Amino acid sequence: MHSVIRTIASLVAQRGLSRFTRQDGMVDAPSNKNLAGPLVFEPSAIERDSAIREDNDGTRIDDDAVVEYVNQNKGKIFGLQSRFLAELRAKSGGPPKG
Amino acid sequence: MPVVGKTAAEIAARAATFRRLAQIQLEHPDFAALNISFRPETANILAECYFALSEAYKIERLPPGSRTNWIKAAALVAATVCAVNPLRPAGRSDSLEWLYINPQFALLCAYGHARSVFLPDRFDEKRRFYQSFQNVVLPSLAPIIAEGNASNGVFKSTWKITLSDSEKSYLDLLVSSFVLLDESGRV
Repeated sequence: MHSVIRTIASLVAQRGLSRFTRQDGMVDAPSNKNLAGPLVFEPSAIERDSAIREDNDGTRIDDDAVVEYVNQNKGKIFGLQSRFLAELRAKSGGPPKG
Repeated sequence: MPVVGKTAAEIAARAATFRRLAQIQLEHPDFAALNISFRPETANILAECYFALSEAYKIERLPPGSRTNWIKAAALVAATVCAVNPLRPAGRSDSLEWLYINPQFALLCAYGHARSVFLPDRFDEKRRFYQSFQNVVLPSLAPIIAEGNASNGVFKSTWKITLSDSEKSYLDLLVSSFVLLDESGRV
């Protein structure tokens, strides 16, 4: 198969617009002295934070279990949906006229 | 292998799950009355987008080779469904309810993944919660959705996306709100 791995480079580039901007070699960012606006942090601080990983507590999603749960709780889920839609209709004054 | 890190079989299985969930959702009388269209091919787009999003989110948060836990998966599924909007009008879409159909389906899918049913109590809170799922914009999924639309849900590309900081923030907030709602056990 001649598929191509496609990445979205523009989104990577957007990281430069992040509120927490990385700026290599930065010692004292002038913009940090502003009263408001984006802050610039030392890359090492951001990298140390990014390196912290969450605990691995996931298990494989069981597709049959997902559907079974929804089927078993269909009454409760539909009830919630119906109640909300009924309240919505009541608050809106009913369907449009004409 | 249309999403890096996932097999075609995994993606096909998830697409089948989305189809089954849509089938259940469309049994709802309010939904049936709205003349909703759900095309089976859309499930491929949902599965593709979900795994691309999930893999990208995992890279940000988990050690390599880890799995996303189910409540996080629930939030990612809800975000995916709302970005894809799989339930489409087969006719007029001038009913007020239309605005809430995809967000409600997104939550139905999420409940299955969270194995929990949750929703805020009061009408205004519920409406705000549902409205937060309207107009979900995840630009990193846009090219996948475009390919799915162009190819009728048959993917040839292999996708690996990188989340922008704003997308990551949105998903972090969504995961956090799901965790809080789930833990509050309101329903």
